[in-house]
Amino acid sequence: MRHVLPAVKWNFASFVVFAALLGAQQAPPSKKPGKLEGVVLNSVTNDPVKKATVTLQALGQPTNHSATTDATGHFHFDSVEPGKYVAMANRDGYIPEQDNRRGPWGKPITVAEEQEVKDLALKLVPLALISGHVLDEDGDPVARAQVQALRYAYLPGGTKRLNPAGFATTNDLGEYQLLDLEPGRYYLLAVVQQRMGRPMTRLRRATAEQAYPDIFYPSASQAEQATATQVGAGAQVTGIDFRLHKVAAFHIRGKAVDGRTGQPLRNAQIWIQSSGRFGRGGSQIQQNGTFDVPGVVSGSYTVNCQTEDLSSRQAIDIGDHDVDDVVVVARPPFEISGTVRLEGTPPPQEQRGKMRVNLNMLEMGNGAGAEVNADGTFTLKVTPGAYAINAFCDAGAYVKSIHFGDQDVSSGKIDLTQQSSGALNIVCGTDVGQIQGTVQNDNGEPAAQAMISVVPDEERYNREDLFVQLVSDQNGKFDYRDLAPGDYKVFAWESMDSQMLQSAEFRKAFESRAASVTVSSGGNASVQVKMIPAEDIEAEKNKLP
Amino acid sequence: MMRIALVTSMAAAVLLAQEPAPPRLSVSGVVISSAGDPIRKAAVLLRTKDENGISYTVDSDANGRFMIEDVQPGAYAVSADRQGFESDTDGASGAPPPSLKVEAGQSVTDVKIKLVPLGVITGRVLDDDGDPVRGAQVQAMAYTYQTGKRQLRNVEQITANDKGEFRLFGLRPGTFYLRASGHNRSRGIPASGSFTPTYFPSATEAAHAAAIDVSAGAQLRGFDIRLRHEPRYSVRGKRPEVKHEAAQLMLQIVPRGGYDGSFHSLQRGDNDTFEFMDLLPGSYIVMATVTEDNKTRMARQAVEVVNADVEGVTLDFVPAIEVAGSVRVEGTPRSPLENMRVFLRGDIQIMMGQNSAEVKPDGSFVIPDVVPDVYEITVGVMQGAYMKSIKFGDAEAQDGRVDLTQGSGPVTVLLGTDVGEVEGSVKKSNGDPAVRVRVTLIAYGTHLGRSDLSRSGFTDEQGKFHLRNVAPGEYKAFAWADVPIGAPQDPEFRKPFEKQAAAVKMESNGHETVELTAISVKAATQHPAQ
Repeated sequence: MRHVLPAVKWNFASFVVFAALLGAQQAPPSKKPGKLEGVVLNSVTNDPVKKATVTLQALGQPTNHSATTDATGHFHFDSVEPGKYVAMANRDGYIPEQDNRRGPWGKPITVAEEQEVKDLALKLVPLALISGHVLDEDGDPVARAQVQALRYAYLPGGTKRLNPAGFATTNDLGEYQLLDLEPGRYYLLAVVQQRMGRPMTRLRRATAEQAYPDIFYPSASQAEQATATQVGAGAQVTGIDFRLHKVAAFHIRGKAVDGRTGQPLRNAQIWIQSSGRFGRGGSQIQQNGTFDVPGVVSGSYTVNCQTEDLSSRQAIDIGDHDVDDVVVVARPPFEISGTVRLEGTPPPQEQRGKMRVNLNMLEMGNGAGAEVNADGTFTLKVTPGAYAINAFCDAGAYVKSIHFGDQDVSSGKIDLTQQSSGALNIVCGTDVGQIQGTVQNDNGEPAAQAMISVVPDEERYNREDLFVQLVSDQNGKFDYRDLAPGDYKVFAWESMDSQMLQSAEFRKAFESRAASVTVSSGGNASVQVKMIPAEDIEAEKNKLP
Repeated sequence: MMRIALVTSMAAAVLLAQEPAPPRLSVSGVVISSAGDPIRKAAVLLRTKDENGISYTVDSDANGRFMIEDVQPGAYAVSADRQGFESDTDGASGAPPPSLKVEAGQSVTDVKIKLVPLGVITGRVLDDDGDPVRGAQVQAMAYTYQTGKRQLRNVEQITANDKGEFRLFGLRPGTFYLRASGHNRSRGIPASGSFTPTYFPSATEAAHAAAIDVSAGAQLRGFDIRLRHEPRYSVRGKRPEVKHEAAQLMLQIVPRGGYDGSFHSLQRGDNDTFEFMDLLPGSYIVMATVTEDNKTRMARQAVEVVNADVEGVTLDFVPAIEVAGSVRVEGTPRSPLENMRVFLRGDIQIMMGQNSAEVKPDGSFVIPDVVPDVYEITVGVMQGAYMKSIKFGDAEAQDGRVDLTQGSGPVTVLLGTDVGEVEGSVKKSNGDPAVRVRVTLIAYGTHLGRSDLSRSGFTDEQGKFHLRNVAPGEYKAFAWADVPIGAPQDPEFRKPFEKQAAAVKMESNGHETVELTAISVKAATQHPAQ
C-alpha cells in the first residue's frame, strides 16, 4: 500500500507568512475556516515535545498545512478549511508517524466551519539507543569496529532471518552508540573488518595468523546462543560491551575461472559470506586467476563471485587449516523460457495491463523478472538458487497454476539451483472470486480503518500474489475482487506491522480470531471479522524472538 | 672392540664432513612515535622487494621492541601499522617506506620505525537555540588536490551521539575545517528544522570557515558548531511523457559544481509534475533519462534557486547518441595493450558512473547513451603508450576535447608507443642526496595541460630516480622535499616554483638525464620569494 504524503518543509518564520497569506485570501464563499490547536507529547513520559513538525493532511486532497511546536510543545493552525484531516507529528528522535504501525494515519479529525478544535494531543514514540564499548583481550579499545543491531524478520513461507536495523562504528576509545532504534528485541553483533593491505604472496608471521571472529553479544558465535537485548520506547541501554578474543585464522585460496571459456577470470573479486550472510572479507582475483582470502576464522561460508555477466556461489567449511584448492567457476545466468496462458474469457482490451513474472530469491541475492510479451511468452535470466515466484495476471484474472517442466510449483517455491531445461508455464484463470465483509470491534461496532489481511492456506504461503492487505472503510466494510479461488483466513488488526504478518508463527497465535472463508470459482464470499486489539498484538509481538 | 672403534671413527668422519650451518640472521629494533615514545602492538612489516622473496611480520612488544628471526638476505621495505598512527614520511606525503638491506652474515639490530600519532577533535553540534542536535553528521575536511584542482574535501566523517557530541579521530597532522549537518534520516523524510550544512564555528560558506590546525597526536576539545537554518526551496516541473508504464525514467538534480553527496528527494506531484525538495539557493542541473523501446533520450536543464520555489521547469530531450570510434596504435608497444577503456569526462560530474566503454581487441569501441555535449576523452590502462592525437571525424580534437553537438564521429584515438625515459638524481640544498622525495615531470609547451602525460616517482635511498613511459615533448621536472599529494598537478601551485624546475626535452624513444634540487614547499611558504 502506498502512503502518499507530499511533506512541505516550513520553518516558523515562513509558516507565519503562510498563515497571514491564508488569512488574506478569500476563502471560497461557502466555507469559513476553522482553527486547530494542540500539543505533541512524548508517548512514554508525556513530556511536551518542542520543535516537532506537525502536518495536517486533508483527506482526499493534496493540501496540507505544517506547523512547529513551541517550547511548551504546543502548535496551532489558525486558518483551516473545513474538512476532514489527519494530523501527524514528526521529530528527530521519535518514530516517524508515516511509519507508524497503527492503521493508516491515525484517526481523522473533522474541522467544521469556524470551529475551534482544541486540545488535540499527538503522541510521538521516542526512539531508543544502545551503547557500549568494544575492547580487545588486553582491555584496549578496538577502533573502527562495526556493531550491528539485528532483528528477526519473516519471509513469506515462514522462514525467519536476522536483518540489520542499525549500524554504528567504534571510535578510537572503542565507544559506539546505536541511535534511533525502534522498540524491540535486538541481537548485537561486533565485526572487526580486516585491514586490507596489498596482497603478499609469501608472508611469514612470527605467530600463527589470527583474527577477531564476529561476535554476538555477550560472547556467542551464533545468534541462537546470543542474549537478545530488549529495548523499550525511548530506552537508553548502556554498557553493552564486547570483549574480543583473537582466534586462529586461515586462508581460502584457489582460482576463479570464466565458465564460458575456461580462462582465468579477470577484473573481479571474491567475497566470503558467513552463514548469517555477513561479509567476511574477500580478495581481488590476480591476473592469473588466483585469489587468497586471509583472516578467515573457522566456520561455514559461501564463496561468491560476481561480474557483470557471470556469477558463482558455493559453500565451504573452514576447520583448522587453510583451504587451498577452491575452484570458482563463474557462469552466466541461465535462461528460463515460459508462457502465460489465459483460461476463460480475456478481460476487455482497455483493462489489459502488462503481465509480469518475478522471481524473488529465497536466500539473499538477486531476483529475476521479466515482462510477458504480447504472445504470452517470456524469458527469465536466472542465477542458480531457490526462488519464490511472483506472477501477475491481467486484471480480472489470477494465477491458477504454475508448472516447471512437469513439476507442479503452484505452491510458489521453485528450485533452480541446477540448470534445467524445463519451461515455466503459468495458467491464469478468469474465474476469480470476490470477497467482502465487515470488521467489528469488541463492542460489536463497525471498526473503521482496521487493517485486514487475507492470507492463503499454508500450502500457498510462497505465493506472495495471494496475500491481500486491505483497509476497512468508515463503516467497517471492505471488499476485494480478483481473488483466486481457494481457502483463506481473514484477520483484522487494529495496528499492524506488515513484517509481522509474514510470520506464520505470529499468525498462529491469532488463528482462532480469524474468519475462515472459502472463495469458490467465480463466487462471492461474505465474512465478518472481529478486530484484534493493539494490546494483544503488542503482547504477542514481545513473545517472538 | 675393533667394531666400536670403527663406528666412532666413522661418526667422527661424518661430523667433520658437515659444514657449519649458516648464521641465522635477525632484524630487530623499536617502533616509536615522533615524540620518541615506544609503541606496542604495532604490526611490523618487512616487505620483500625481491621477486621470490619472503615478507615477514611481527607485533612489537610492550616496550615497542620487535625481533624477526631467520630472515633471508635481501632487500626489504620496513613499515609498521597501528590503529591511531600513520607512517612518518618527513613531509613527503605518499613516499614509500624506507628500505633495508639484509646482508648475509649480518643481523640488523637498530631499526627505528617512526610513526606519527593521529589527532582528535571533539565538540558538540548545536542548533540556533543552543540545543544539541542528536545524530548530527560532522565531517573533517581539508583542502586536497584531485585532478589538478584544489578543493575542500571530506577526510573523516562521524555521527554525533544523542547529546550532539562528536569525536573525530584518526586525523593526520594538518589543517582541517569542520562541517556539520543535521541528522541523516534514511527514510527520506526531512528532519524537523532542516539545517544548512554549516562550517565551524557557524558559517554557511567555506570561505568563512575557521581553520583548525591539528598537530601530531593533538587532542582538541570544545569545537562547538552552531548549525544555521536557511530556507530551502523546491524545484518543480513537468514530468517527461512516456508511452507506456514499462519505460525506465530517471530524474535527478545535482549541484552544478558536481555531486556533493546530498540527496534531494523526488516527489511525484499530481500526475505529470515532478518536485525536488529541500534545496538550498544555488545553481543546479536537473537531469533526466528515459529509456523505452530500447531507445534512450536525455535532458539536462540548468536551474537557479535564488529565494523562491522554481516552477515550470521543462525538460528538452535529445536522443542519446552512441560514440563510436577506434583506438589505433603507432609502432609496437612494449607490452601488449589489453583491457583498455575509453572514458568521456564532461563538465558536469554525473553521479552514476562515467560514460566509458571497453576497447575491443580490434581496437573499436562504442560508448552508448551519451548526452551530446563537450567531453574530454581519455584512455585508461596504457603501459608504454600515450595519446598522440584524437580526431573527431576529420578534425583534430584540441586538448583532447570533443564537442559531440557539432558533427558526427567517429572518434579516432592514435596511441604513440615511442616513449622514452628520464632519470637522474636529486640533491638537497646542502648537497646531500635527497632520499625518497617526489619527482614530477609536467608537460609544457604544446602539451601544456595534458595531465595524462605527467609522470611521477620517488627517489631511492641514493637520491636517484627513474621515470619511464615518457611521451615525446617538452617538460619541466620538479623535485619536492615536501608537497601535498596531487598539488604539482595544479598550475597555480606550481607557478612560484617553476624557476627551480629543470627543462627536459624528450625525443622519440629518447633517454634524458637531469640533476635536480629538492624544492621545499614549507620553506617557500614561510619565506615567500620577493
